[in-house]
Amino acid sequence: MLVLLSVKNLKMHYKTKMGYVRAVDGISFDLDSGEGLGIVGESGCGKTSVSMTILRLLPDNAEFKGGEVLFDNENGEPVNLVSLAESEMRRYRWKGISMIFQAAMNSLNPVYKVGDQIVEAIQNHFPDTPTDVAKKKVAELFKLVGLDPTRMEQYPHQYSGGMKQRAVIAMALSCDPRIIIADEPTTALDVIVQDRILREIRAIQKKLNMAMIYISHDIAVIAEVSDRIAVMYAGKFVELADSVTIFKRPMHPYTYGLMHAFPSVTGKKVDLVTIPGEPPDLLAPPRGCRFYPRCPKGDKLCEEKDPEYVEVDKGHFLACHHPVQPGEVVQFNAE
Amino acid sequence: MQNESVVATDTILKVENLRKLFPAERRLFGSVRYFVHAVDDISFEIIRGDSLALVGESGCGKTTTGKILVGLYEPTSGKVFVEQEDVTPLLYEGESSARKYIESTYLEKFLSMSEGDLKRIEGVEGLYAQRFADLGKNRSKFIEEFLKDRRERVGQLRRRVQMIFQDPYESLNPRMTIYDIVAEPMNIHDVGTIKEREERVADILASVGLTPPETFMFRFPHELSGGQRQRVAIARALILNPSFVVADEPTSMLDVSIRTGIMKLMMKLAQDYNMSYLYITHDLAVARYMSNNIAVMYLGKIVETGATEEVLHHPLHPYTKALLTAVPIPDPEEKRGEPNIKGSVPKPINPPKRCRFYNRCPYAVEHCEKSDHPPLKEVSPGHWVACYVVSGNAG
Amino acid sequence: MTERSETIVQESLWKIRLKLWLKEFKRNWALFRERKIAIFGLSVIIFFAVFGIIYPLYPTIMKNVFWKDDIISYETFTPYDPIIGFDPNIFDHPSPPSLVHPLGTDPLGRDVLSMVMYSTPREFVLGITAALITVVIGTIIGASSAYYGGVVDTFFMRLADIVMLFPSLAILMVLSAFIELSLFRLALIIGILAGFGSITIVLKAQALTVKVRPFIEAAKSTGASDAYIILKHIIPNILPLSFLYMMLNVTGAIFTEAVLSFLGLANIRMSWGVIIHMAESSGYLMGSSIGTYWWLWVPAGACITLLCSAFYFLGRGLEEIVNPRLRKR
Repeated sequence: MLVLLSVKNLKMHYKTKMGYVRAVDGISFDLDSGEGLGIVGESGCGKTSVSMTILRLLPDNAEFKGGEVLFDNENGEPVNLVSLAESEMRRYRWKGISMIFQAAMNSLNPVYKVGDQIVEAIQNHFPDTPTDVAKKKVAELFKLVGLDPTRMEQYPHQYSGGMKQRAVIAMALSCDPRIIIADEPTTALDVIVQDRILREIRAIQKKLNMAMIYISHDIAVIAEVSDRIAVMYAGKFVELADSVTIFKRPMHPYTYGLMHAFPSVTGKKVDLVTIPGEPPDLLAPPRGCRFYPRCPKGDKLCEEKDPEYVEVDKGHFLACHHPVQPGEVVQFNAE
Repeated sequence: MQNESVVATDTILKVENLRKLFPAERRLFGSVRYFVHAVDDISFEIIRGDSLALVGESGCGKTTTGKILVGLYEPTSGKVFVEQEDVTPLLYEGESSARKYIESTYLEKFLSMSEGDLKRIEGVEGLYAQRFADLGKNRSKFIEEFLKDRRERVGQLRRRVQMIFQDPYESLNPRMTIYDIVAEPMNIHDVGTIKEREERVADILASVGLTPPETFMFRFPHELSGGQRQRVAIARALILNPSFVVADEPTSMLDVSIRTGIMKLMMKLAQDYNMSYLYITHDLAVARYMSNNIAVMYLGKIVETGATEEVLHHPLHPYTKALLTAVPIPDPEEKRGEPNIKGSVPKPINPPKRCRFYNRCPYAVEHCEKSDHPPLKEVSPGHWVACYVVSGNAG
Repeated sequence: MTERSETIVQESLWKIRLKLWLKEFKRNWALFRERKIAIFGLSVIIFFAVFGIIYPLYPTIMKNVFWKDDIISYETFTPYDPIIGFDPNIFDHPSPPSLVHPLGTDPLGRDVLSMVMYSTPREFVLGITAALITVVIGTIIGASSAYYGGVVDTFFMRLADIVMLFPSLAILMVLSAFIELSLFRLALIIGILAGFGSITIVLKAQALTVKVRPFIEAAKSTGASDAYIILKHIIPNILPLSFLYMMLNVTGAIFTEAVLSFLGLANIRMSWGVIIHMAESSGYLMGSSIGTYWWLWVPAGACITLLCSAFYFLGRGLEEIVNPRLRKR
């Protein structure tokens, strides 16, 4: 297993009139080739910002505040993506790591044929590719994602939602990336279409032995596509472990709360957890543990000292002073 | 479900053969030939104390149904009863449409019947038949009485049936304070003095968990979080004590940890206020928690309905089975199979008469194609399915 | 139910309302202050407002400074009266600026500064009245058009097209032959003409974006009537844009009046346009005279330009407040 991507203590803050919004505040993880890593968190936790930071697709007011993003560039030499100049970064963007954006179906240009848009993406990154070669590749990609290649000549409005999503996936695959970051790729889709897309993504990932970072707020979806899961809260990872551990033996109270807040159609009907309060304002996060105000296990130590993100078990990272013990039932007192 | 137009005394809402067609083309001359069959002959009933979840994928007609009930769309045909009263004429905007409804639904039938026959009719229709007889079978008097005080009665209907919308960010007017927003129903229906309104608003804000109410009353929506805004929307819907609330995906745009809070709040309020919900959602898992009855919709039709636990654990209709199989399970160790369904949802424009699900169905047989869309049949107590194969009528 | 003291709720509700309103106002003011153009516009407007208000003081000051010994002349000829004034002490009218007449005198011997100051409040009244009428008409039509759609919408949009096609100036010129265009009447006519024009299209477009937002449906489902929704939901949400347009319309109104007066078609006794008209019709704007007799047209012209620009800049300054999306982070 080759470590493809190694993110170390990544920090990125947005500068606003009212101060710095600490959107990404010390994120670390490793990604092996062929692995599926899920990042789960609620809106505003910074999960989209993490991917934008890795790909350096940030707006003007974003300021990089430290850390490294080491990407294995096949020569055996890891390159730190954060330190690259924009022109150099272009070599890695889309070719090394590509992305499926949130509400991606809206990112298809309505006035161009779908096939042409992907051809353009290929030719932008491999300028010497003749158009017919690029078109052949697009046809192959279409088949891979389950689209009829004749649809290359159609326009986005002639596609359904699910088809648009597949087209966007094809586009993300077009330059043979080694990592794909997928940000909520099935949010706007109906459940049956979602099921198909998820299966396809998993199949493609296995077939091409590609690594994937899957970002979502939907735990059920993350459970299906990830080998390992990172739980993000207020700009930081609070826990990272393999999927089964996260679901069955979570150690961070927030993880515990999330896992028990999801209604399920199968099994017994259990009482759902409500986590009281709201996520903190990232302009001025609390000085101690960021989850402290909402945590039933929090105490003075948590209020004063931000817990460190350490490896508590093989492959299991945690940032918590009072982790949940095996078999413990955590009571969240909501109104 | 009961016989046509027999409405039990504890029924809050009864919908009969409701249809809503939208024109699918614009024509300057001539009549429209293509219609979107958004809601296509559905019937259901909600009893006081129960809730019904209307589930289905996008485009199945569940949201349209909800909007008809709160007066945002006119029905194309069908009847709606709220607490023993036929309120269908109140759902039409123009009086002439209301008249046409009364004519075609009641008068056509009643005029050809004798007084004796009229008095023998049961249920709500019987009440109207009786009235007609009492009026000496006078057509214009009957219509007049039916339409009497229409304006007022429409207002009263609005007070009895309220709606909670999906988008907490857009269902509140950004230029109004929270107080204005929540007090608006009282304002529109001219209820209470200013002081009474302020007190009522404070009370209801407290009961939806926005305490202390004074700190929220004069804020603007953009100062509140999504969860808080949705609580305001709930407060607004509840302030006039409706019998019945239509909730259109109220939690789908909220974060997970907030969702459960809102769900629990809604369930508690239903108990406190003795209210029922029509809970519209695409999320089967949420439907399970919010209602004790469920109706699955597909292309404007109800294909399966019954008690929630029963339908979710013993689904009979192939579409319901496919839906349930497709829902991702929040448990990485549990594997689910592949949904047994092919193709994708067709556009509901001028659908063929056969079973709507025919071209995607794994059970389909010739009978399904040759016959009309199957009616709902009670396959086990309280569990109704619209499928020839399942109900054993596949010819 | 929670327990709370009734008196606490009652008294502090009003205070809370006021406090929150003030907070909102201060925030908008801070935003406004950041744009230099807006401050410039506002300052110029305030300057002119003060200018117009202190007008009565001017002749009094001048009388006490320069005419102390010659009260009889002053009373007879009222040299600082903008309409019938005459300065007998100066031989040749129009006279260039001097201490007695800081902006000189016009061909009829009237003090130019006096005329300019006197006209200022009138210009304000004209501009704001016309703009107000335009905006009221435009807002109501725009909102109703958007809400009802169909025939109503088509009618008003086609009407707007027609109004825009017709050169309003030409219409006014023709009208001047039939109606006496006094200040108020002119303001009314300009206001009404503009009210059915392009402003309805712009406001209708804005109202359409409001109409499709869910809170409109929410109000309808609660039982609100059409009029209620238009008045309480749609119009408040387009009001900021209306307000913005009002500023721009003031500019147009003042300028239109100036042109009409300049052409001698308006029945206004004194305004900045009239001052220039007087200069023109007396022949002082021809050839090299235009440079020599500069005080006959520069002050009035400058006032028109400045005040019109000021309202425009004020409008631009309000853009950010009106349209939150334009705000810089």
